[in-house]
Amino acid sequence: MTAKLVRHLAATRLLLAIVIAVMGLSAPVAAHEVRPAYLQIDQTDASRYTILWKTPLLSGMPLPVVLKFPGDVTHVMEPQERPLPGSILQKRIISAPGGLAGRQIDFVGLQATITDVLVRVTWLDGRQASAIVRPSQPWYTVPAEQSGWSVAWEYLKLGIRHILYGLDHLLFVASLMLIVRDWRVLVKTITAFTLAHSITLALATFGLVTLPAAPVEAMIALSILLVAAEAVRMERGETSLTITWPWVVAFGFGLLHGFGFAGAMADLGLPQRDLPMALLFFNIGVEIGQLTFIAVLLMVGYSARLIFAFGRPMRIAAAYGIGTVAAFWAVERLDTIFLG
Amino acid sequence: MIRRCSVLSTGALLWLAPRPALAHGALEGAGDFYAGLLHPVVVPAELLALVATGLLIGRAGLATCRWAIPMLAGGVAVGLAAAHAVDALSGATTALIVFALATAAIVTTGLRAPMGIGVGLASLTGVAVGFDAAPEPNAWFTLLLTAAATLLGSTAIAAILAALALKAEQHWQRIAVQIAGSWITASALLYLAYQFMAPAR
Amino acid sequence: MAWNKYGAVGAMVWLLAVVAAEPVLGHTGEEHGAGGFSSGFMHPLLGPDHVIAMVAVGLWGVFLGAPAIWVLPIVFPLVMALGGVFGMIEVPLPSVETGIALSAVVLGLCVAFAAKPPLWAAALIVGTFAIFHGYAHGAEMPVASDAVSYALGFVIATGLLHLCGIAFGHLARWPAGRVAVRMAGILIAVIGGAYLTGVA
Repeated sequence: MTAKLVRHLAATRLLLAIVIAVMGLSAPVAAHEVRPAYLQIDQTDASRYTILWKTPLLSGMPLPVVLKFPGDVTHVMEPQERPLPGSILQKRIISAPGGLAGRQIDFVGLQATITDVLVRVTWLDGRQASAIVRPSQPWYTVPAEQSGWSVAWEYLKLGIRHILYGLDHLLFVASLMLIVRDWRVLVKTITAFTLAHSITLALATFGLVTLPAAPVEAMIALSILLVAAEAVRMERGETSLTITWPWVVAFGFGLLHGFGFAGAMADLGLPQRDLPMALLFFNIGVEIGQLTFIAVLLMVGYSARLIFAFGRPMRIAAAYGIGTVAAFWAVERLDTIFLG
Repeated sequence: MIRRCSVLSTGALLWLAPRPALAHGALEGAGDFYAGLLHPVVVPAELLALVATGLLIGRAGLATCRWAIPMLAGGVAVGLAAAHAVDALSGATTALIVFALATAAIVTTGLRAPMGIGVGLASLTGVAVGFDAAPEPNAWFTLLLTAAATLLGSTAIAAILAALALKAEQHWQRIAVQIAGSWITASALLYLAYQFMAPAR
Repeated sequence: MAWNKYGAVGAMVWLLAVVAAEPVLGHTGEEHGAGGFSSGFMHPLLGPDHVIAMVAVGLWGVFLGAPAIWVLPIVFPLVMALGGVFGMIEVPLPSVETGIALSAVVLGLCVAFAAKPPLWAAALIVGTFAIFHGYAHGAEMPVASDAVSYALGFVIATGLLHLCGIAFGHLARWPAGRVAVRMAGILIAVIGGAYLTGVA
């Protein structure tokens, strides 16, 4: 009993702490571009490095950022640019006497943008380091060493951020929760959704299955619309496949949402080397974000029902609201496919 | 009733939808939204005042909650709106702590507050939270988004705590609520003493 | 509906689990007051004489039984905050450090003998200690930029120590546990004595 009491009391402090944690993740990225730039540094011998610099095109314009290496660095191969869909890839080979460890690379002009840079360094012995550089501190100091855990940590944060900033995934989960009324069914439904999107995220990231992004996005919008409509039907006392077995629908559409996550991962420009690790932690980050969202929704819904006893009107209003937004997206995304 | 709720919310969402939709679901204002939503949670003074209010109205009973929560939300809205007209934000933290002290002291006694006191303190706390959380001047859409998120966040915190306190039926749960009240009172007391004594030292 | 209860409990447990991982995040939220909170939280934990005396209050509460065991955790932080206020306005209070060490000895002995004085006497002993304890910390409260979270962290750490004492004190339900709790009381009294005589 006392242990329960302690836990209960600790809740106040813990609640403070969690949100500081979430805030720490979200605040620095406020109003940032969703697509980061990507800098890859591969050591090829004691003093030589291959540099890949991939920058997103912003409405057709290249990112106005120039890389500046320490003064004693010389080019073995001058920068060569290659256009990719939506981005530009620049490749060069440099020679740095004494190596790059502990040296600083500046991103001249980054402070005037709102783009983050994802940096990854691979040394000769296979060690790796990665970091996210933000416009407020537009430089990167190549570390002497970095553990695998800090790489994992970066991708975990990216996963959490992706789900919390991805309104369409959140709305899909929210509309499923309008249909699920029992905690056993909730566990089944969430597990099914997680399983399904993990499968397709892995398949798509390893390049085993590829789907074009635009139709996937449109289908995701339609999936939200469908589940929201089912929620309204349920309130009218009707029944259907979705209402009886929500986890089946969660699994089916989860497959689709996984492709959406994969698209986001691909935008990060991941290298092939530690893909399984990055994938795993990105996915874990997505689950953490998703479960946090569900926990907050459950608590707010529970309180509102307990105090105001207007569970039903609230659910109907939410279903209509979600459906409206989803319908808007569906039309917009279909419009981009067929007319854009 | 149900239909009117649906129509209203749909209308509001339709009006907001075109903007979030611009960036394919990863809406541009997400950072501003989360900043506003989490403001009452990461600023300790706001959190203390809201938790104390939630516990007070929860212990006061269901009828008080039904009045106090809308009044709190209204207070936050008023505070947010007025903060731009009145330029006196420096006192907001002290006001919040004073309200937290008064509210938590009542919670600590374990007595059920009369409805008038519960609703009154909730409204005052709401206004103070609104003042304290007023976002920096920005584009009107960003401002509106951040402010709406703050309104949502602070109301949700108070409602969740109120529900917890309402459900505190067992003896140890009531004691736990009182202990939480006591901790908030003690922190508020320490802060106020510090605030008034620090310049003298 | 089963949903209500289990859903809410599950949500709460999940939030707690995420939060438990928060210290790992470390660098987050410095500008939002986490710095003030953690320094406030650590402050009561850094003085061993304070720590043992607060645990002793919790242990003793178990021997005192209801209603003292419930009243103490509610009243103790308030009295301590009052002591903190005295410390800040520099009310002259004689030999604070001696008072704290002495209260550790007295509280430790009360636990060791499983003393059960009337409630007012217990309240007086604990209250005196709370005043001294709060005074010492109030007088040395740093010029923190974020005083609210400092105060909160400070109070919560104190309260948790207190609750640790109560939790440990529940061992006294079993005969062997009772002996263990009383031994802990003796240990606390000895450590307090060491501080009192200046050995430690």
